[in-house]
Amino acid sequence: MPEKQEKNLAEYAGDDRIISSHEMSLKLKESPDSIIRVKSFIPSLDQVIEDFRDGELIVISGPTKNGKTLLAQTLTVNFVRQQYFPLWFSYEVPARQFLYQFPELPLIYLPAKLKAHAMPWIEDRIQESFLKFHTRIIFMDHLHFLFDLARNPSIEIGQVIRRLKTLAVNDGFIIFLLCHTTKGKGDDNLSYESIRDSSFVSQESDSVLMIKRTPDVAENAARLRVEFHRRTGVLEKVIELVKVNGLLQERTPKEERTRKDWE
Amino acid sequence: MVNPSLLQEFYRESEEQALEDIRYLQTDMGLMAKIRETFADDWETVELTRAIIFDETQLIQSLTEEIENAREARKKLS
Repeated sequence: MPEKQEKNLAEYAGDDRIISSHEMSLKLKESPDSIIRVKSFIPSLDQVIEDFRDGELIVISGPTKNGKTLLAQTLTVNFVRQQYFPLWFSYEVPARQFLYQFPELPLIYLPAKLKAHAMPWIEDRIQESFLKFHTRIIFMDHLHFLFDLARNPSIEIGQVIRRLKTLAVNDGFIIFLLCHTTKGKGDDNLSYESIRDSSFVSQESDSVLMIKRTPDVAENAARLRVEFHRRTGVLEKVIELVKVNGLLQERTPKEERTRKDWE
Repeated sequence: MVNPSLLQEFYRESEEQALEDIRYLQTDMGLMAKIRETFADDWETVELTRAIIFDETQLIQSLTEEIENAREARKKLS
């Protein structure tokens, strides 16, 4: 190594310099555990994940027309109730349809015009929204609009997911990413392995939430499965949901009783 | 009798003004969220910023309705 470079490195004092675990521990104690903590207002989910926190990449998956967007919209409304106004990238559903699907229009942010397959553009919009409106929660519907499928999808997905995770950790965002599954509607054994290109998605994400409608239970019922949650260590926790007034909520024994009375 | 084009102009201007106000309020809400986050340990600041954000969301909602009404009125005039 040239002497000058050696000297520079030996005296290096940048933000990313090497420090000891003790120094790191002191640094961490000075800053709060998390910048934000938001509840889903789905009691069993909040219990198992101990709220959503900044730095997390959460994947929402399930078969088509089984409630992925509805779950994301429910979370959106419940975050807005806590005065956290999310930024939305809704590629799957056109803006008009997406906004009018909410029972009551919540205050959220979204790009005036969408660009698909453009990660640098998405990163710029996320930063723009943060600087203008301090948005810390981001929803992306869905993963396959974030990269060019014509290229090598496996490599592209890996890169996209890693970039999103880095963004979440470095800048304190909570990112919700919606993904499709490879399997058909009739498959009852859905797990995170059913997610298209699952290995990349599940390796980098902090939690995978799978949702599937359960018409056998009730017309508007759905089953949410927390496949895993890295921070809390929860595995395969099942939560029964029901659609009420256009949004999902946990199915309580009271609703169960009402349903039985009806039948 | 008021000139309809003058009325249309009036509605257009009030729409623009309301939109400007919405944009200002959104930016201010962002600032309040930042303050709330920075002083998360100070409950008074947290409560105050929460109250301001709440008021501002209500204001945005009524301004949005105002714009919709103005648009409706403009349509009737044209």
